[in-house]
Amino acid sequence: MKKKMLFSASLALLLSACGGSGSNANEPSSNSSSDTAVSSRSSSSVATIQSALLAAQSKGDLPILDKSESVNGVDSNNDGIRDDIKTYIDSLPDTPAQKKSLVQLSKALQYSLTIDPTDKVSVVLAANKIFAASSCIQFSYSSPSFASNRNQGIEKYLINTKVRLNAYSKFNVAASGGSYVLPEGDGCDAE
Amino acid sequence: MLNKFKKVTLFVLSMGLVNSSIAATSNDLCLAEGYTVGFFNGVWNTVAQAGDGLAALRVLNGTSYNGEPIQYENFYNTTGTSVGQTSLQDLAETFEQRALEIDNSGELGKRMDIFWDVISGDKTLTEKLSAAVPSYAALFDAMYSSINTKVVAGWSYLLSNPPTEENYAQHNTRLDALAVQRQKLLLVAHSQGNLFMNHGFDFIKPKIGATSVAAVHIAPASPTLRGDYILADIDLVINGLRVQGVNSVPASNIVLPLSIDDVSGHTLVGTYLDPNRAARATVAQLLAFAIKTLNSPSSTGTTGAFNITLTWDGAGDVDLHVTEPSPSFAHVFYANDTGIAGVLDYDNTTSFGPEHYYASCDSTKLVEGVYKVGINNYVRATGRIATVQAASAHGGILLTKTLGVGVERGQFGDNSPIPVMEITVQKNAATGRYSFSAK
Repeated sequence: MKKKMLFSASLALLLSACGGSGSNANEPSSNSSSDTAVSSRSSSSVATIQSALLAAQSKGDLPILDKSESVNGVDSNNDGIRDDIKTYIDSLPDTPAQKKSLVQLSKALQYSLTIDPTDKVSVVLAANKIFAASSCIQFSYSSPSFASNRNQGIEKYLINTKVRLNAYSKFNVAASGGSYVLPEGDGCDAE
Repeated sequence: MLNKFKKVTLFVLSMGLVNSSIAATSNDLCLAEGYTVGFFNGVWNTVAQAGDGLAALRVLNGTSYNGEPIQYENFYNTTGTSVGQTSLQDLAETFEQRALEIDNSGELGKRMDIFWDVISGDKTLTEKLSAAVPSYAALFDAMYSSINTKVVAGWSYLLSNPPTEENYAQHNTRLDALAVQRQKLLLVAHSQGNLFMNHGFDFIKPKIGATSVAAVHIAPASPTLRGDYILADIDLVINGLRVQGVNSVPASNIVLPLSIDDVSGHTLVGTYLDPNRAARATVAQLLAFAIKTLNSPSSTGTTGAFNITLTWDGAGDVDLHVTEPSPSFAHVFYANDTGIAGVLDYDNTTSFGPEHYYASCDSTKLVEGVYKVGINNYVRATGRIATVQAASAHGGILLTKTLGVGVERGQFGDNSPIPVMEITVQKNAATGRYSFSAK
């Protein structure tokens, strides 16, 4: 019992997703007030957490995300990337080439949500697209840790609702057991 | 006969079409003999996280050694694929339940972007929320603990119920193909991936030879090792397993300072490949040492513009048949191992395979059109399950199918093998590029 308690306590500090790289290093600046959360603290727990989240959005700690019920969300110009994700990428203080690599990953992840997970060929194609984009991101940033943070930032903001998580989980399970190669070169712009 | 046909049909798990394209010059059609880094990813890794980890390894290890190319390939596995294992959805339900304690409107529980933070141990946002309202801190801690308890349960289940041969089949076939094609194999695993890598290493070592495969373990959770390893003293995941006693794990062998970028001390990129800490240099040294030990396999196979590999799960003789495109319609099999465009360079008559067909790297020999792939249960293989895998030189696996081998038919089956897949080779007249697709 003690062992389990100690284990749980230690795990409370850590991450369990082994490919993760920890906190997002991006720290957008903002002129918004952070008082909103504190001022509403005493009203109710609902108002407080929502106010805190709104404050985080105002400060740029959280992008404003598409929380619609559909897997695809809103892609008003049909370019394969959700509008909110494109807005988020545009807001980053990164170079055009770096942003382009994030767009590539966004499109690849979006594609993985739309395929039939029982169609193994589509699963391979989606995985190859994601690998190419992941390669491109690592080539586009000088710090592998920062590149990894950016990769995971796109993933978490794009897979941001339960219906999207379910679709994404099915894709990952379908991909399990297969093998996928990194493209030769940087992988950028691979389709 | 009808029942056998149904059986075969039932086992065909996948169909469809995937493309890869490469330049048309003969040099570009195939890869030069060299090295393959086979990466076995960690627990709960998504495809994107596995790809990110592999790409980070490539940045560290480079793309050539001794003048030969190094390919990078992920042997992907995810937790939660078998009955009894915890899936991402299971974790999400726990997140939703815990979120209700913080926000009874349910809105927080709908935010899967925060769920990803929780399962990755990223507290950047939740600590800011807790700073705004300190009473949240304990609730968020409880949420992280609950998720981690579920994660450990899933991991413990995997340790006590290791993957089955069926889970390994595709990986084994790919390792067989790489060995036949004389690739020197450097297998690298992180976390849970060490369980899968150990199996792959033990599978391929007797076939490729001990000097043609090497292993490097990063944060191993496995009780046994196949090569050198690195395990940080601050790795709380592995330390947690050790404390809980769910499995024997190696002793830590590197002391690292803590980092707010990865409080777990466990992630591949965040800790072990972190440019600001010593583990990265150690991983680089382990990879450099391991690759230095590798020699070319004694196998005599050839890599092609595309390759077909057949394996099966036991004794018996299953034959690979490839009918090349018009106008020759050359039928390549054990009795006619050389066609117009390709060659059957491995024919196994006893057990397991592999059988291997490669299409020429010479653009003057490679024929455009449809290559029809089939198999025949020649003898003693009734009841066996076959795995047939098509891969292009540059794009990796195009398609894998698993199917029953059908009834024993001897040479009477030579002219009517069980259809498995079709590979289409096309050359774009304008660009001169070849494309390979499978269905």
